[in-house]
Amino acid sequence: MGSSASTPAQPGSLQELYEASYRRLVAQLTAMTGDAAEAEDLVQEAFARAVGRWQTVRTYENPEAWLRTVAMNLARSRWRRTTRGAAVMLRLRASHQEAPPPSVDHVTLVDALRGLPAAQREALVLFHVADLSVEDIARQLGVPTGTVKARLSRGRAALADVLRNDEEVAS
Amino acid sequence: MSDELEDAMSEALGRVRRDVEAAVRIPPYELVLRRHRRRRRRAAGAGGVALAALVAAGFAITPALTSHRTTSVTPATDVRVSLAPPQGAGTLSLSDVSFADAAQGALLGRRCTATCHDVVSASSDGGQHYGAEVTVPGGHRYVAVVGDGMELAYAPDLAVSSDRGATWTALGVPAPVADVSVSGGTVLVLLTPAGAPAQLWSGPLDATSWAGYTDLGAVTGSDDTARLLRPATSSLVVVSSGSGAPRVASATLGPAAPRWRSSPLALCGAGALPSVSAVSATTWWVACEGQQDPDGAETVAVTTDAGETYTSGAPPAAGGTQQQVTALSPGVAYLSGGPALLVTTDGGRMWSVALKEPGLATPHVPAGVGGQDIWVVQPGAATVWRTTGGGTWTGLRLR
Repeated sequence: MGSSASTPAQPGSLQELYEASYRRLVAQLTAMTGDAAEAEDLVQEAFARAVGRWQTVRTYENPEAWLRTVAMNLARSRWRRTTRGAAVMLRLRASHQEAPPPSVDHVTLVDALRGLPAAQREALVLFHVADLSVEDIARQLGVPTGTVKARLSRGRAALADVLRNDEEVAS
Repeated sequence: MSDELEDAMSEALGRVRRDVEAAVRIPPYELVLRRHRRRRRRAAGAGGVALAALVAAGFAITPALTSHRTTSVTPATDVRVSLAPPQGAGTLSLSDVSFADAAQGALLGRRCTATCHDVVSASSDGGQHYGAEVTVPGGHRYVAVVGDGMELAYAPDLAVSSDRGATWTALGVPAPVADVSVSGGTVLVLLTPAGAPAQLWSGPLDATSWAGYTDLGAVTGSDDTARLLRPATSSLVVVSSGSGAPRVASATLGPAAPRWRSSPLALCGAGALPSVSAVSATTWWVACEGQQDPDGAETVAVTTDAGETYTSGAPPAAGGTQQQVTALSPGVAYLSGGPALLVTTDGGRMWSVALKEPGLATPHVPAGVGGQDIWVVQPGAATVWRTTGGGTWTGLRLR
């Protein structure tokens, strides 16, 4: 049997993967959704869905990428179902009460990310927060690498504009 | 944008990541397991039948209705499993099986040692034996054995073999491949480009050139997931799902441009792509994926009027497991993916256990073999099952 692609070895158990990747995934989903509590809920839900399918998921090239995709799909689905209403705001308030207050820069940046189109936000988060290569992002999102580069470029420009405007308002 | 600004942005986003990672406490893993159990209970529903118990009993779900059976499909009376010679080191998981006729077919799987690769094994004796594994470049979920030595592996990549799977060539496609259908000397490839509706490309059987494509903007939305069904050479069915309710669109192919009939699948929850199996351009079965929709029940239904009306069946709940429907006729269908392979022969009113094996993939019933020869893979167990008529099932466990 020949070989065409080199991929990481599979993790032993879902619990091992959970303990190794939970923080990383929550950080990525927080950057994506702007809500740490929502991000934790999404990541836990993704792991819960993996429980019954672990024998299949564990054979994937990158089970953590599968979990991230599930969590991001859930985030999109929830976003469509809700209207950014009271439930989200309540969770935001709850998370801010329970967690130590994030820095002003952190809040500004996450707020700015939330203002970007979803495709640009996903590309930025996967590149800068998940540390994926352009090629890996293209594969995960199912788009050509040129599209990823364009989304990154537009996203960075838009983010820079938002942050520049915020600085001007603040000064 | 300057490199300095990009570096600054990267550094700032990196700080966000470090801040969050430092603040997050990992909840006990038991919470994930509890959440999984809650999902299973919810999907099973208050009115759901405990399928596992019935499977353990090995009887029809509703024994009083067994006399209503009208076809030759029978539950398994004899199940035999044999062990194939080992093909390689590591673990093998199967994903699909396809046969062009009662003899020529192939298995698609994924073998993992230190690395993972898609592999195909061909059979020329109806699946009694499979040849040496051959690595297929790229990532694929499905295999289609077309005949005349042609085989295709697809979704999300596309690879073709013209020598019965001995060698494979990866084909460049402009977007992820969602599905492939081969009939009447042509191959149709359903692509789902990001940020755009699905596209239907057509070409010769070797898929090395394309005659052109049809934009499916009229029947699918941007970024929808989709599947392509071709119940007959002259008919197409496209199932899609995005932000709204899933949709099923059907068309009859002819000299003129196809006229699509599209209808929402309101009986399935939004977001998830239901399993649909078409018998014709107007008759298809639907299995909603309760696992994907926390608020939706698992539903199996059949329509004979292109989706104008559906008749819902009542299969036993499968504990939230994603189930796949495979239809042979308006009255006969299989349901797989739960604790057992179920079959109905009365349009879904009564379901019985056809094969008491859990987690089976979608059964493969080759066109033109009369619906009696059925192959189905059991991914985690690396086993492929075959029956002719349903009475005896033989399993071959690959290693």
